Parts: sequence; structure tokens; C-alpha cells
Amino acid sequence: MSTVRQKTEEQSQQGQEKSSADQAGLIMCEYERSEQRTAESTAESPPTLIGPDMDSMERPANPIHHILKHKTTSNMAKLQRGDPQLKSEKQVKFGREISESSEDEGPEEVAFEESKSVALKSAEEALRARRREKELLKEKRRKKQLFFQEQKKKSLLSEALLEEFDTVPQKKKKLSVEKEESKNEEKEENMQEIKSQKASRSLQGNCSVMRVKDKAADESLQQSAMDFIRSRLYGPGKDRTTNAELLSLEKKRGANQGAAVQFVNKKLGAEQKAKAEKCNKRFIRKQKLIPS
Amino acid sequence: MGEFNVHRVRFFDYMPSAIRALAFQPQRERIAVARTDGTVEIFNRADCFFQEKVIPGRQQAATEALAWVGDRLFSAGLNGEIIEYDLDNNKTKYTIDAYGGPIWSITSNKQGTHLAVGCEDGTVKLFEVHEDRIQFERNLAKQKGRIISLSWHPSGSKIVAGMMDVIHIFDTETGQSVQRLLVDRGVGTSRSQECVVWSVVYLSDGTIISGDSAGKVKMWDSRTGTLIKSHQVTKWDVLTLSVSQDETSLAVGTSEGHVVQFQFLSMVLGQEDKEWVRTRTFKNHTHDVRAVLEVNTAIVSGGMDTQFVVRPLLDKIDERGQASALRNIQFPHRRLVSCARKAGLLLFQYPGHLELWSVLTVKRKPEKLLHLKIKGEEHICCSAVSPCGGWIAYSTVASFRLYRLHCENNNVSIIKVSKLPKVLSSANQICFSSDSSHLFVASTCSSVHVAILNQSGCKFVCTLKPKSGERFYLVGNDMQRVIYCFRMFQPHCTVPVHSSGVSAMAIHPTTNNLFMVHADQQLTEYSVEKKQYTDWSRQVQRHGLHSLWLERDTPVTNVTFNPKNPAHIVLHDMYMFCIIDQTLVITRLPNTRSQFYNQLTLRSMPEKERKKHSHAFKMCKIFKELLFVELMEDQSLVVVERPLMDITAQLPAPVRQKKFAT
Repeated sequence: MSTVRQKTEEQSQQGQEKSSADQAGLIMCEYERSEQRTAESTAESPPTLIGPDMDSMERPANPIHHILKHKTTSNMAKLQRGDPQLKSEKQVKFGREISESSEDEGPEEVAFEESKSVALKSAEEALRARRREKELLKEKRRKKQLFFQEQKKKSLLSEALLEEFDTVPQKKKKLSVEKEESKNEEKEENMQEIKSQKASRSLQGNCSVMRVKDKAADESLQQSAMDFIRSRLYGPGKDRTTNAELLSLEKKRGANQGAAVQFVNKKLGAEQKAKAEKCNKRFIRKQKLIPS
Repeated sequence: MGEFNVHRVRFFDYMPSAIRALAFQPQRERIAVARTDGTVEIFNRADCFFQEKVIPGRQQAATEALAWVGDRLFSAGLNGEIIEYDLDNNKTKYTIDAYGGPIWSITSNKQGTHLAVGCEDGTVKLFEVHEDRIQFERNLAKQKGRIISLSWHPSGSKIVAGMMDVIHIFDTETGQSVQRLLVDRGVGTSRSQECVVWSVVYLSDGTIISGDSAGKVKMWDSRTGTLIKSHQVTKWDVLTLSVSQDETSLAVGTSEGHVVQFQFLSMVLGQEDKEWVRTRTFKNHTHDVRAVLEVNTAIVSGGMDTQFVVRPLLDKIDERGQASALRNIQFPHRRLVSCARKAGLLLFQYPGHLELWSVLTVKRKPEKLLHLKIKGEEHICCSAVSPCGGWIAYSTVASFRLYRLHCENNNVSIIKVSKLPKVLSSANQICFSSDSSHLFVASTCSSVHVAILNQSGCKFVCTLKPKSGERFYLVGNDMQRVIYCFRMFQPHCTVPVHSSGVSAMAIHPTTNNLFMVHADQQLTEYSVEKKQYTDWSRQVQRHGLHSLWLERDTPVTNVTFNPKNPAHIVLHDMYMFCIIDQTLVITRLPNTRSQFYNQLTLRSMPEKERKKHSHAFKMCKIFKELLFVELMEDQSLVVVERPLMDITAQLPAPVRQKKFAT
């Protein structure tokens, strides 16, 4: 009961605040109401006001909120304008609801200053919370960006190799120039240098360098065309079975009836047999059929 | 007859490749077959579908479509190139890049002046056909999406192109798209995927028939651009269509392996209004049917199960004979195995390598002696091993290689003969003489080169103009089916031409008689010394062969002789091998089936009875799916089998068909 009374006091206070028709005040009211909602989710609660910043706030699932929401969207504009008629209507509604459930007691008196400070604090806290959330989002975005950059760096060749590719052609150019000057010793030295460089810095792993024009584009086109046919005829969704089943069915219904080909032909049934053996072993071990 | 030790060989992993495209040439009655590894084979429809030519393929080949322009054959593939074939020399004449990305289809107009190709980038490119080459003329209007199928109107004025979800009709004069037909997607899960129009056909009355990946065959009116009728043929894709020359019958190939026939009939007898009605379904394939042809009296189909099936339409055939038989061609009509009789070696020819196995080993278990990979991308055209086992030769389209082989005890060494005569550049057939002293190579321009083999290498002797080698006689046949005999490297005589091509022939070592088996199962024997047919051959022709012998649907691919008994001839086809005894009388051939295949019953009879009932043809059907049968020096029989089940086990996945009670 006391909580209800407190609420009604605050509601009346809010009504007063509304009367000032201050945008900031309106927003504060909204925050306050949202705080209330998060604190106590009771059946009797003020209607939700759809404001610009409400999306970031939590909205607990409360049926009456939604019902009242629809009613109040049209009233929102009126509220902002400070429609006295609407306010009185609301107050009347509230009064009716409250009188149905509460006892015959007067509302508690709360000082204006106190409630003002409470409201201000809550607004500040809300602002801080929003800022914190924004910063958290920023952090997350920054981390993702870093991660992507690192991934990209990993996929590219290392800088050292890139430098090597840059320097070697330059050296070769130098070599050609020196050839014209026909200084054999220098040429030999350069050749040796290049060779040693090549020998020392080999590509890591099993990589090989190929020119794009060597591997013609039409091979990839041919491959994609063949993949298209394969996916159309044998792709997912096509009802296909195995050759072993086809042959086994023929044996079952044919002239010389016999067992399925997996059992007759060693090669065909080899995989299935291996699987079955593994399964059996696992089962036996699990069930501990063989005492060990 | 005697008993034989049989070496049953099943380790030849011969794997044929799937059939991708078929094309029919009506003037010469030839059917061209393109396989996925780039091989092109020519079958002669008039000669019991005998495989006349094989143009070997290459690695990384992806042929998609074939087209005949008169006598010339063109193919197009996913590597973006159009290839013209030189059918006289069994190789490619030239390739020309269409610069449109992968090519999905190629078609020629009825007048034989232009070729149209449908490319990945959405353009239909027109090429002019000149005497010795083709030249790019122009592009039709570029569309968004790839062009999967093409068909030319018989008048040559319009082209219909099947693409993804849509069919375009182009006017060839202006190059613009005049009509656009929207193909609706299938129901259920296939609604999210685009519908691929795998095949289109343009009829002369303006009807367009299309087969798409939703399993529907649709008939459209090209004048108004509307759908006339839609038939749901299968749950899976309709992959290929073919219409007959008189446009009354349509063959449809599906992913299920069924071939469906539609006919242009009137629903009520006697009335004039005709429509396309589904009549027959043929279930001869187990895997996808990717190419189908409607030649007038039969439907020819081929697909992922690598079988070439000819299904005759019995309402068009009057009498029972070779033309009315269901044919299923699985193995090639030429030898892939050659045998060194004295050394007991078998050479297996694969597309990319050769394997040499020793069969007559001490351990009684065959062992692999050699695995010879070829360099380069080409496939092997032909190969041979000399009878003594000392030389191996093989040839691709571009190169010829000869190797000297030494096998002592367990060591096998092989030395390549490097200095070959320049004339030996490529070969269609290779043959060693029986004493392994001479090498005969049949190459381009119908010439046969002869070379002497000795310790140091190979020396060229001479070139013969107008195949099997004997010490003094050499016999070769060319495409006109004329068989030339050479004696001591001089032309000797020619054998009279038979109406059917020769599928196997051999010269007898002692009597020098040329024994020939033809594609229509006729046997003839020609005496090369006397230059005339032998008496035995005349007797056979007069009496005629048994109907069961003539009704066999696979040709004989190998003929050999028994070294111990000169009257015995050993020959085999895919399902049987037979020893013909020339001393026994031909005339006493029985009529019923059980008496023709009477080997088992003869065994149970006493000796005196046997002579009454035995006849010249001793057939054995124990070994199936034979690739090669040969009699070795020690009277043991080598039988190379390739069970079809092993081939089927390695094919791509078939569709899941739900059958009752399984």
C-alpha cells in the first residue's frame, strides 16, 4: 500500500512538473517513469510515453504498458503542448484506478526539494549510464577494427619478403647497366650477392611464385562451369543413392537373387565394414562387456 | 579338343568414360559419340553399329556438344574451344577459341553454311563455315545468363536458345531477341533454384519443345510466345531431347535413366488435328542419360553409365535381323590388351599409362612388372608388345615411343630407344612381326612404315602404301575396307571388298591363310599365296552360318591360332569364346540352341556318340565380359575379364528410385 501511495504522490508531482511544459522536465519525467518501471513492475503504472530516447532504455514486458502506449501516442502531442484537458483525463483515470485498490488514507507528503534532487540524480545517473554504454560500444568497435587489421596483416606476405621482391629487380637492373660497362668482377659479385640473397631468404612453407597469365583464366571458368553442372545434377537436394544400393536392389529383385553387394564384394563393403567394426568396439568398451 | 589351363585375369581395371554427346550424319549413316574425357568415336549404323574410328582424348578435356556440317565434325567444350576433327587421320585438325568462356552447345543450320555456339557469357556466336576452316562472323544480342542449349529453325532464319529460367528466340538477320518465353520453376524445394532449360528443339511449323530441370517437357508456340502443352515426364531433370528427321517422333532422355518417346499423333483415329502424345518408355540405362538421338528406325542413347544403347523402334522395321536387335555396346571394338606369347607377358593399355604383367610366373601368381606413365596430356592411341617380350611400343596422337625391355629373373629394366626415324611420329596401329625382327607402324595418309629392330635400335626400312604381320606377308586394311597384302615389302594382292567392315583378322603361321571376321559375324578365309578364297571359306558361305552365331550382338575382337594344332582358330567376343575346328564338317550344323552350345552335353556322352553330334563351332560361355583371350605356347589359356559390376561400382551416383517391395 505504501508503495502505491508513494507512486501516486510522485505521479501527482509529475503532473505538476508536466504543467511547466518544459522539454527537459518532460524528459526527466520519462526517465523517472522508466526507473519506476524497472524498480517495481506492478499492474498500476503510468502509461508509457514514447520519446526520442526511449529506445535505448529497457522496456520490461508489461501488458498494460502496451495498451496504454497505444492510447497515449495520440495524447503525446497533446501532452507536449500541455493540454489541460488530457491531464485532467489522466488524473481522473489514475484516481479511479487508485481508489479501487487503495484504502482511505491521504497521500504522503514529500518535499519538493527532495523529489527534485532525486529526479536530478536519476537523470544524471541515466546520462552517465548512457555515456558508459557508448564508450563500451566504442571499445568493442575499436577492438574489432584492430583484430581485422591483424588478420589482414597475417594474410599478406611479410614485409621482409616484400622488400626482397622490391630490391631484387632493382639489383637486376643495376646488373644490366653494369654489364654494359662490362665489368666482369662486379657482375660476378652482384650475381653472387643475388644468389646468396635468394638462397638465404627462401619462401616460408610450401609456397611457389607463379605469374597470373601462366594459369589462364579459362581454367577457372571451366572449373566453375563443371562445378555448376555437378551442383545441378549431384548437388544438395538431389535425391541420389549409391551404386552399391543400385546393384543390391538388382540382386534382390533380379533373376539370380542374392545378398547385397556389400557383403559379397569385399571392396565395396570395405568402408562400411570398417565403420561397423569401430562402432562395435566403442559399444563394447562403453558397455564394459569384456571385463578388462 | 583337349583341356586347357586357364589363367583368369581380372586385374585389368578398364574404366570407360561417360557419354556426353551424340550426333548423327544421315548421308553416310554415321553416329559420332563424344565422351567426357574428350574421346570421339564414330559408329557405322549401317554396319551393325560397328565402331569404326576412335579419336583419343586428352586430360583436362570437357567436351559438351558435337555437330556435323556435311562430312566434317565439330565439337565444343567447356574450355571455350571449337575443335574440328580430321576423320581421315584420326586426330584433331585445329582448334579455335570462341572467346566467350565455356561453350555449352554447338549446332549447325540445315543449309550447312553456319555454326552457332552458345557461350557462358550469354552470347550466341555465329561462325561461317569455309572450305578449310571456320571464321567468326558476329554475335547475336548478348543476354544475361548462360546459354545452355541451342536449336536452329530448319529455314535458318531463327535460333532458339535455352537459358536459365527463360527461352529466347533470336532472329539471325538482325541478331535481336524477338521472343522471350518464361519457364516456370518446379514445385517444392526446386522453386528456390533457377530452372535450367537443358535442351531445346525448333520444329519447322514453329513449335519449340524444351526440356528443363523441373522434369517437364514443354511445347511452345513461337509465333505467339505461349505455352501449348506441358508434360511432367520425371521427378528429376530432363537432360536431352532429339527429334526425328520427319518431325513425328521425339526422344527424351532423363536423369532417371529412362528414355521417353513422344509421337505426333491425332488422339482420335482418322482426325486431322495432331498433338504430341507420350507413347513409350525405355528403361535401358541405370544412370543419367545425357545424350539421345532419334535416328528413324531406332533410338540411340548414352549417358553416365558409359553404355551406348541402340533401341530399335519395332513399328518401323519389317523383318527380324540385325537391325531389330537391342544393342548395348559396353566395350570398345578393338583390342586394349596385347600379349607376348613366348614370354607370357600381357600389356594393358590405359588412357594415361601402360601396365605390363607377367602371367606365367614360377609362383603361379601374376605379378606386375612395369607401370609406364606417358608424359604429356594426350591419351594413348595404340600400343603393342613384341611376341618375344623384348620390345614395347606405344603411340599418342603427337608422339611415338619405343622401348627395349629386359627381364631376367626378378629384374626388369627398360631402355627408351631415343633415335627413332623421323617418319614414325604417330601411329594408328602398331604391329610386330612374329619373330620380333620388324616393326610395322600404320600412320597417317594410309601409309605403313616398316622398320628393322636390332640390338642398337630401330632403323627405318621403307614405307608401304595401301596390319597384321607375318614373316613375309603384311596385311593392312584402310577405311574403304580394301585389304592389301604385301609380300616381302612389295604389293602382292588385294582382298575383294566385303560389305561389312572387318572386326578382327589374322594370318595363319603355317598355311598363310588370312582369316577374317566381319562386323556382321561373317567368316571368310583368303589364301594369300593363291590369291583367292579357300575352299573352307566357300563352303561356309554356301552353307551359311548358324542363326545363333549370326544373332550375336557383340563383334569378335581377336583371332588367334593354336600353335600345336593348325586347324584350330580361337576367337572371342564379349560373352563367349569359341574354337573353330576346320577339319570338322560345317554342313552338319544343328538348329536348336541346346545343340549349338553343346559342349557340356558332349562331355557326358561316350566317345562314339560324340563324333556324331559334334560340329565345328565349340563355344564356351563360362567366362563373361571378356576383353581378351589368347592361347599361350604351353597350351594354357589366358582370359582377361572385366566384370561389369566392377565398372558400375565406380560410376557416379544414380538417382534413388523407389521400387515396390524394396
